[in-house]
Amino acid sequence: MSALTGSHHDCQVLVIGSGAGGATTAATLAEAGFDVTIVEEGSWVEQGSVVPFSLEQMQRQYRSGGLTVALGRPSIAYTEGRCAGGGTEVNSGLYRRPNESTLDRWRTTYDIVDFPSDELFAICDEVESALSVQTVPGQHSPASERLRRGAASLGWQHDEIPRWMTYPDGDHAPGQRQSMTRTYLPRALSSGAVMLCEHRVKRLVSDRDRAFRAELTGPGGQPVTIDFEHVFVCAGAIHSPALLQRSGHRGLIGRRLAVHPTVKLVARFDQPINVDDDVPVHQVKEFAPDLSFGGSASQPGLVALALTDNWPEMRDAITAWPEMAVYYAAITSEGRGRVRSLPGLHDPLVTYNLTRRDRDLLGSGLARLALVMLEAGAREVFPSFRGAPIVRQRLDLSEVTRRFAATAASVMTVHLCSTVPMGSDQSKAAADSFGRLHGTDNVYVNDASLLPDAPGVNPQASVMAIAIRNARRFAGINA
Amino acid sequence: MIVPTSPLNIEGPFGRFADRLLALELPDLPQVYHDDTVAFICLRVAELPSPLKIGTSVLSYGVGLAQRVAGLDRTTEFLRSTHLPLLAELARMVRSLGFAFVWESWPQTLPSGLQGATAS
Repeated sequence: MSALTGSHHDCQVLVIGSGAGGATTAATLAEAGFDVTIVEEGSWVEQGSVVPFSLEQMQRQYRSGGLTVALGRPSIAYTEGRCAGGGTEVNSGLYRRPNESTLDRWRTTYDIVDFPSDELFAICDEVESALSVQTVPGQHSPASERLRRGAASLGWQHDEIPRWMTYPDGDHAPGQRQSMTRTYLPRALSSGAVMLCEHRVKRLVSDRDRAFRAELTGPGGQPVTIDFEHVFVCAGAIHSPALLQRSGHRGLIGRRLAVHPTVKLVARFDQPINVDDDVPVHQVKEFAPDLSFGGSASQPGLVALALTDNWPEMRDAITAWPEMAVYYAAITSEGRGRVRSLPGLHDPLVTYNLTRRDRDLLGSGLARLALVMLEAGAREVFPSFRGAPIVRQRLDLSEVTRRFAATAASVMTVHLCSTVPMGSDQSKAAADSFGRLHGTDNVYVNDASLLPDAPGVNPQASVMAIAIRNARRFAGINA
Repeated sequence: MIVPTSPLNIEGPFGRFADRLLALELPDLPQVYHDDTVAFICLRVAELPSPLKIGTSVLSYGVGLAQRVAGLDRTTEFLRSTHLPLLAELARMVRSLGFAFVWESWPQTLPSGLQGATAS
């Protein structure tokens, strides 16, 4: 990794953030000959130096150790990567192209110009090649196979989601994650980009419509400045709008946070199925895009976590964690949230309001997911909400629906987007059709913030395709 | 960094609450494991995003007052069972962090906190 020393730097293009949006932006621009500096708030953590989905990983690679929450009724816990490579280093690596219908909705509702699907899908082809996106060549994990079996038994649509993984041994274990620190960041660095890790951008300084300087704090808290010609803010759907707000940009920024809220359950089977360092790759799409089912990381600590809402009734099950796995029901939410940077506070205030339809859908989704588990052979199912019954047979499912209240559930999400939506309709969009912030000459956003709404699938393919599209457009104009 | 006056400190009202709640819910957890778990919870809560940290600190000041007036046990029992918004989140936070830490660190732990020879 390249490094700079000193308290002031100059560059042509500053890229803030090194996740799916920032890394692809930096690589595209560096390879096009631009003088690029990447700033990352977290550390560079080599893969293999930390156990996936562990508390240590949360400490080292997640923002606030994974304890980030959007306040509301209920509050929604979310996680963000805070390390070189961002969320790509810590997520499950599942990859799904945006649907044609989603792209069409974004194009028409937000008046996004020059946004042809075939161009985006061609970029997806490139991304899939660069990241070795593929399905598991060998056997699936037991927990994934159970999910597939349950859906198949019900005749419900399901499929395997490919991942950015290579399988040196030709099987699912040990797969090697092709995250940004293994793919686009090395490409950017080998093309001359330099990277500053453990540097936090406090604000951007502008002269009228043109930003020219970033004020940062370094690893020891020392002040650092970087002057630039152009800046790409790629700090994710929470911290991109927060940085822009701290820099004096308001308007529509941070007002339309969209997420995929999820609720969870634990299923217990008769045989050991727990794999502590991987996640299921199958998803159930019978009710998509409104509702999807999948599997989560299931380390024993995470199994215990999923049982805490009903600990007095469910605690005895914890000793059987090798026979247990955690699954989720995710919805496409009609609710929206806000990100607000408050004076004097280091972090933004994040809020989210589920609609009544969202809350109902979470409840019915959890009951349907429990049905899949019963069909898969689960002997007991433990829904994660206060007052939940233990499900042992179909007759118990109506009780899940009857007792469910979203306010009593541990709702969480990992997909955050839409806080700086793109489009030429300035009544709805905060950035133009190529990510340039409305009202500025040289401030670009190029991450999940740009997605006009939650795509109903894992958003990182959409993020990367749009980021590369926008970076190429920028390079073409500014070459 | 935890400062001595912080209500989220291990010796502060939040730490006392976490200590007592864990003792009630995992009574047989070995003392050294118990102490490690309380320390872990307090360290993580100290790293909350600033708006949440402020809110938790304010709640903890109130908890500290209640601990002085009503006693540690009665306050803990109330917080353990309440469903009131915000207040209920304190117990949920302690359980979530604590149980995740205990079973990740010592997966053979039994529901009472006793250390089993094998997990199942």
